Amino acid sequence: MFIRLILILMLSVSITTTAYARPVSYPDGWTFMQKNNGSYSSVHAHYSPTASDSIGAYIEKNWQEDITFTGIQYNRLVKRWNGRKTQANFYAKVGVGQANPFGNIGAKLSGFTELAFDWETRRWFTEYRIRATDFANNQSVHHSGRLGVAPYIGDYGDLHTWLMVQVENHPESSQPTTTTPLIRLFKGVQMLELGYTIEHEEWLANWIVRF
Amino acid sequence: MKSLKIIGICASIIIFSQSVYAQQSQMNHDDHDHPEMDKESITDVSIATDGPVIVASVNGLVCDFCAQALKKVFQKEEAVKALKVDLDAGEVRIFLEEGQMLSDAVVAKLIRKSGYSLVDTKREGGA
Repeated sequence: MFIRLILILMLSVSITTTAYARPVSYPDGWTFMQKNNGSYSSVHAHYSPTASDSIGAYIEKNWQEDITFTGIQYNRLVKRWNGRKTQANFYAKVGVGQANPFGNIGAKLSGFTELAFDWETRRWFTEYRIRATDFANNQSVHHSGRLGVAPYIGDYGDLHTWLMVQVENHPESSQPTTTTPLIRLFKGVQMLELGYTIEHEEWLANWIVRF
Repeated sequence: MKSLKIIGICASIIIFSQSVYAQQSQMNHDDHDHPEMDKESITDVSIATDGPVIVASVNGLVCDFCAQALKKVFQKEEAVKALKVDLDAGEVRIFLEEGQMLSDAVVAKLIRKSGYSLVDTKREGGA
């Protein structure tokens, strides 16, 4: 299943190279991303050589399964739609590396792939993601969606605030669907998200900075 | 394990707040003292109000975080003295160095490289 998803992803990326897209960051830009929630923590540092690609290192610790993944991640902004007051993006991501299940068994070839679509105005934000992982033969597919609203419209360079609700679905989990209200703040090249997953009673904290 | 998560969350918040504070302090310093400003320090504000200006109407300007790419891309151009992004109007005002010029084709290329779509340009002050 995982191989098939990879092939579909590579095909979808290869047939859309004509799309001029904004950078995943920007040409010659670096990005550092840290994500934490009750299920996992991750660190992703990537470099964007072009306006639509980035590549970097990705480390994820799955707290529930006690699996650590270490690998290389490639991101592509497959397509962007720029409207007068709107913007939509379609991203594809793939990662390949190794995972150590339970920390005491030999590392195994592992990977993941993800597709993400977002649409936003200065007031509204929506996003949908589907992610398939195969970490040391522990396979999983999950979906997530977000809806956000900006309580005020800031100018360029201001502190911007978004109030969002994230809904995740992990079909194999004992609690398949979870809801996380969160606040997103960004100013300049810094972004911070803080949230709370109601069903798991766990906090979410994400931080992104660009150089 | 739980303590590691808490440490990670706290570290994120601390680093973020310090960075924002430092950035704010730098902006305040620039506002009051006006030292010899480099291109980096004047790209966020409309200090350079005279001289040749290109007003570019741009599609897709909805996100400040993403629009930082415009600053990063344009500040590499020798002809560009400063940049002002107006998210409300969907415009980018490109302040040029005296005697310098940027063709519409170059502006379109730089806008595209930043991830946006150029609609049209207007030129003021002899740009």
